[in-house]
Amino acid sequence: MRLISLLNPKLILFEDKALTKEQIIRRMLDKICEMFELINCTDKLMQKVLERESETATVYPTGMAIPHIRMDGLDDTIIAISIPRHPIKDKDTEVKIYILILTDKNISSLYLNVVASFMRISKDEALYNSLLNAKDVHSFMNYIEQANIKDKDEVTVSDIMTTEPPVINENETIKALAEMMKEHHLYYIPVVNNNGDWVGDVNLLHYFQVSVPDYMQMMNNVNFLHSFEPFEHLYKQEDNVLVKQVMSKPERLLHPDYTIIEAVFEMVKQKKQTFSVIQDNKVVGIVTAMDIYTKVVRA
Amino acid sequence: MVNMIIAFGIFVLAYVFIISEWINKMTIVLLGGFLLVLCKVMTQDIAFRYIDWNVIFLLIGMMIIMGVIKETGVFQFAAIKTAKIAKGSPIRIMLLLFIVTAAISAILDNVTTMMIIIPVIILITTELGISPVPFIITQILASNIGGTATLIGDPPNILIGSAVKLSFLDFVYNLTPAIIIISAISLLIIFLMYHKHMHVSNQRRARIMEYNDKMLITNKPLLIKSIVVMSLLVIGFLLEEFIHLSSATIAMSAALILLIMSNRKEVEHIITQSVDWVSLFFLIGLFMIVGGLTETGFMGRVAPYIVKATQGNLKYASLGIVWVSGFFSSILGAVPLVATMIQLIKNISGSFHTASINPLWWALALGSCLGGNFTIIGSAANIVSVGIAKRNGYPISFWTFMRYSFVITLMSLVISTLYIYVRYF
Repeated sequence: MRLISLLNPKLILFEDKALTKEQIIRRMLDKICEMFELINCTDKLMQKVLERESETATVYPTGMAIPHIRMDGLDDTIIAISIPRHPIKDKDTEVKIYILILTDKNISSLYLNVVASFMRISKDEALYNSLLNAKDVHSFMNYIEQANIKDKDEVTVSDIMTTEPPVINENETIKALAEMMKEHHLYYIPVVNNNGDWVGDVNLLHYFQVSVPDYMQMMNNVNFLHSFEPFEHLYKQEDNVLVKQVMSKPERLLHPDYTIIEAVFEMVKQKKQTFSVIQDNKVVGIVTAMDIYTKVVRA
Repeated sequence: MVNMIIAFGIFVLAYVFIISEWINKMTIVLLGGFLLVLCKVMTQDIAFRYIDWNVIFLLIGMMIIMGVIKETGVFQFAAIKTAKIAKGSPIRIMLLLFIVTAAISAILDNVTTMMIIIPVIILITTELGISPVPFIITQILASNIGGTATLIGDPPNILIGSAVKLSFLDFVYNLTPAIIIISAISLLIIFLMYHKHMHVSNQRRARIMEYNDKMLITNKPLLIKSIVVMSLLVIGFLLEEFIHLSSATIAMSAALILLIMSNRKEVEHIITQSVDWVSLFFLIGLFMIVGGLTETGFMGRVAPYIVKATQGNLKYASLGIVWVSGFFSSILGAVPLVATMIQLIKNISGSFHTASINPLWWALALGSCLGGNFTIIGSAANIVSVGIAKRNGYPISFWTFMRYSFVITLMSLVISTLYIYVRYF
């Protein structure tokens, strides 16, 4: 199904005035309530959307926000779009476009495909900018029409992954690794070689592992050690141990075209919550179990 | 004749792979066993008849028991407690741990003992600021020496005891005295070699004394149950001849009772993780390959030459076996050597005009177990311990190992020779 077929020009709003997030959502809901006979209209819907928003943020780094609710007995999927000419600060991101989706509790795949379609739009820089700068609803719809955005059969890893993640060279020391993790607030970094090819992953546990030498890991427990200073060894070794000495490689990799179920399968099977997404030996993204939870399961 | 050549060819090829380790040795040995069947050298039924199931189940039983007991933390406790009793003095720690390791190895599996003791040794020596290498090597020596003392101490003894129907008590009566003498002299040599070279500060010793050893026993009820079952096991072994039960039945019964008494959720974990299935399959393959040599009459053909070489004299044969098995077990590994030697000795046994050829078996046990101390690859315990040392930044080369092990191994074999000579001739 083409995305354009699901969109209604009357539910696409360009907001020239500076508005708040709540005002924007309310205006979209008002429009929806004008056009559709819904059981609970604006106030109750507003409350539900805001409740859902407070549970899980739906703002993506590209400046797209997709607030949504699932309702009993709606038996439909309604999409409203709002483009504030004055971007709105939401959770450290400047939101340039709001896509409000109302869907039935039982309609899952269509909803996910719609989200995936918008995510793809947000990653296509030229199209995304054209849409944000569209003069009016007509040209907005034209851009979507020309792009011929279709539902994919399934949502894939590329739809939900974080693109262009920071990477670290395998020959860096673990001290550099620690500094990078601290600077970027990361607990997981893909490792690349001098050619930029992916060679493994490191996380905080790999770093901590240096403080617990191999012989200690072989012991039943270390509760008898009162005077042992666990990080003494780590501090001594920080400049000597290289990332490639501590990194690990998952049994199998995730590819951007993998379906969500494939990704979940690998996560559960390998007991690993974060994966580098690899295409042609290059890191194209990172996907976490939380991404799947917030963007798919609880989306 | 063709069958004999095929059997010998497979045997030689398998042993080349065992030494070279070009292919996983369990796979190659087991493949060799089935190749004999594929080549119609012997039928599957006959090949399986050569597998000594008493050995296999005795080993499984002991591995299960070890798997349960190690969960109690008692071995780590023993090592740490020893270090504290030694008041943090390196030479005292080395000597006392030698005794502890030898004693544990006499009853339980050497490899698992090493996997628990070596990490503790690295920890202690790191805290003391001294090299763990001499400690690791002396512990390996202790483990192989201690393992020689009893029927269940080392796989070669299990193989011999099972093949020749020698009891636990026979081993204690014949081998333990020799091992006590060898251990005592080893301790003296270690003292002379190291006592002047290991000095540590008071501050570092104090760190060892700070260890809270009471925290190390992680499952006291299980430890008590384990002690009860182990005591019953030893009593069972001692009474083996009188109750007319084979050692595998005694060990498996004890192991299964202990398993039932331990944590029910851990049963599968112990069976999969603590039983070394790879070594068991390796043994099964060995039994089949060596069985091929016996079945085709190869052993019978070689036997007269051996008898001729020893002039049909049991004394010369026994003393020769100590050194031949000592030398070859350090290259081949004790288990493949003993599996072959058992069949060979059985074939020459009729040629000696004596009531008992048991000195040959004691010579084989002493030679093969103690010979394992010569080289880094002499026994599984050596390989595992050196591997742990390497992973922790203390690589031990072939020659470094030999530099430390040579004197004690040579002494062990000399004492064994004298012991056999004095006691049996």
